[in-house]
Amino acid sequence: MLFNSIDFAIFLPIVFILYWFVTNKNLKLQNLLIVAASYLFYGWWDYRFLSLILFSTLVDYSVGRRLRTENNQTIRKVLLWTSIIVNLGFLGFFKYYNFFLDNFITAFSFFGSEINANSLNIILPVGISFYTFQTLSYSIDVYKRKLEPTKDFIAFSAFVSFFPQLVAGPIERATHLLPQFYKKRNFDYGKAVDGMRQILWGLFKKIVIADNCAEYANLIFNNSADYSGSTLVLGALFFTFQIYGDFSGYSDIAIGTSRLFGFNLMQNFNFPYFSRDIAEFWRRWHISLSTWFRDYLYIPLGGSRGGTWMKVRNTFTIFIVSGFWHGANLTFLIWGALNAIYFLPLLLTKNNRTNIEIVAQGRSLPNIKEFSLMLLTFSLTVFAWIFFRAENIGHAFFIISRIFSESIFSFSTSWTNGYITILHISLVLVFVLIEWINREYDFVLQRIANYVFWRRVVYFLIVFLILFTSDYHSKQEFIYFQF
Amino acid sequence: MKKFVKKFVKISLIFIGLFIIIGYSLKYQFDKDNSDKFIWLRNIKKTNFDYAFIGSSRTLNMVDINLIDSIYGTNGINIGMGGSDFRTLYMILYTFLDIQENNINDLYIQVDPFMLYKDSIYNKPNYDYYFYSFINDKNINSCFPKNNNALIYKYFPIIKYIEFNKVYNLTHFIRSFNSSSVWDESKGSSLIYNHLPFKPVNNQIDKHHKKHLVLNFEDKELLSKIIGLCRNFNIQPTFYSAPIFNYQISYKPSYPKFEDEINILSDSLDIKYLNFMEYNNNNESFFKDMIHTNVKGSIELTKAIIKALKHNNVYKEQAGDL
Repeated sequence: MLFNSIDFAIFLPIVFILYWFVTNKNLKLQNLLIVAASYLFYGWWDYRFLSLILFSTLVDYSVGRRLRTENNQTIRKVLLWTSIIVNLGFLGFFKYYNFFLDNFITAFSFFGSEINANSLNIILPVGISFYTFQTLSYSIDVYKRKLEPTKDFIAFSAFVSFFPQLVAGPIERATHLLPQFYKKRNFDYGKAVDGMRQILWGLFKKIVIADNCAEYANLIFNNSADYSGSTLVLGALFFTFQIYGDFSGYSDIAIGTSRLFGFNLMQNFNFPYFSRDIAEFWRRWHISLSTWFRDYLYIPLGGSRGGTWMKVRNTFTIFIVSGFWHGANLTFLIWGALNAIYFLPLLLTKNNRTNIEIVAQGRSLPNIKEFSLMLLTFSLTVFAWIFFRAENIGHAFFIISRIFSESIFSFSTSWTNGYITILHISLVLVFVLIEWINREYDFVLQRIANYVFWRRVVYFLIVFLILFTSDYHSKQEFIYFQF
Repeated sequence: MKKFVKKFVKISLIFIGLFIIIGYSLKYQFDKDNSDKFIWLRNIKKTNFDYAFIGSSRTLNMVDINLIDSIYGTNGINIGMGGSDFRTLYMILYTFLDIQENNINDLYIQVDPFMLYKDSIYNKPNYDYYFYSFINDKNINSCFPKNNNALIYKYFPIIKYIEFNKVYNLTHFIRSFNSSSVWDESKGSSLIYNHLPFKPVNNQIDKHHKKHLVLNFEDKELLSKIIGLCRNFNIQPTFYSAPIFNYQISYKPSYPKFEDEINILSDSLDIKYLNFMEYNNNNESFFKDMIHTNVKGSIELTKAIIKALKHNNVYKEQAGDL
């Protein structure tokens, strides 16, 4: 089920009413409702893959239970590896089987030996990269004795399958989300209203910004040979806002929906395009994944301790793995490696934590230095997104070579659509301005709560734009569903 | 909790009320949008035309009415619509003749393999929303599937404008404030320029049609209904087909019997068939894509039509010379 669908618009109020009016007196029943609703939410897409979630849940629950009583370190390790192998095994099979097979065949044929192997027609289960990482965090934290293993299977199932964040995050840690299922939730008016506001802003980001940018980004990237360098730069810019609107919009809806049910999810995006260096960007972009890799991969590898070689190795490892997490394509690996290259000079010169505060805090405008740094970081990010969006490495290099050619100085309008394009570009600019004004808040509509009249005008405008820019005759899925 | 639900319901109701008002305002404004071909056609009432061309984009973009009129001193109109199938064309013609009370002497009906065969790329209900205002007319009503949203669109027009916002868009809204229309000047034609040089596509058959296709009974019936409409309004119908690039190789293998079937059909109905499918159809400079000529090709096609009309003694040259 998609957040931006009529199905979800019907599903959400029904679950909300059942949750607060029917099951509100019994915590177990409330958790059971969440599990049932989450399975329905996921099964709406493809019920066959519910078995994967259930299996993953059973494995990690059982591993957790055994770890509780087991003191033998070897057995504890075996249990942990069981969880890791099962979870990553599913992920590896569904996501990377064909990639590795194709690359092995290519490698063997390069050395002159032909091998016969057929790629399988594998459907990637939506959200598998997200919920496997979430359940893994549970097993690892229990293994490290950071978390008391749960005895409550229903609460654990609800934690694994919690529908607002099941298919595209935020990837919650068991230490943060699981305990929320143990406590009775009371309806909090302020929290629910905030949740609604965040859902509204998330839908705006997805439908008004991302989907409209996607139209131009797809047109330009899919026909890159027909466009000049300057148009390809615009294509990359459209994709930059598409991916941000799409993914952060999803996170906003997920966080807002969770608030309606009395849960707090972690912030996943914190105005990343206003970052002054790439380290700051990664503290603000897909925070739940970056911190996951930091805690479960980077730090266990040694982090930024040790010599230069160790730092270089660990940095490349975390960024390349992060790239690979996004998909089985060399373009994602290069995207990850490029970010590592951006990041390393900051780490090696110990400048990776220079820009911790919010940019231009307490001021309306940034100073020249801040502005230049933001522009540089944004440009580097846009450049990296070219690899992320391109069909393959050759396509990415073709686009880059076209951008850095004389054709950068010629401009064509053949991709535009009259007033509609002007409207869409204006909306993106207004969106950036609104984000800038509200960058000191958790989410954009938080500030407007104090102005009753303007609040309603803004709500109405957002609803109007959402309704009048949605494409009701084609399915607009979220980009991160494929990861 | 109750406060939250109450407030949510209250705000929702206010918004719904505002949107209903906006819906009727949009209806008022969009109905004046003469830049939209359908609305332009719908605003033509009680007018006499010597002839009309009807069909898909292969009529809209490929027949230049001004050129024909400049030669014969006639008053013609192009009522073709891009992407139309025969169901849509029937509704266009019916509303044009019966509801808007226009008169036509001769009607040139485009017959294409794409429009008459199963799996055709054009057989989609692309333009139904334009005809929902005529839902109470039994002929129009019979063209719609049984479960349609016509009544909802009629009484809550906002739903139509939201659902079809890609059609009823900002560009059309702004244009609706301009009373003159490009269609007035072109008489319903819209010739197209190449933005990029035409590159022939060799794998059309693999891309669209993997098997030999058969004449679609439903489309044939709808074509017969159009002919019936012509008979009722004393209109002389003529079939014609427009050029397709390299037809023998590009598309004919999918429709090997098309020309034979159309000849049989036109003979049985006693209707002339002007076949231009292979007219200039190997010259890349005349094409915009595989199935559409560019401005240059469309003018050449129109000249060929003019010659054919002269040859058939339909009109005599009055005002100009080719």
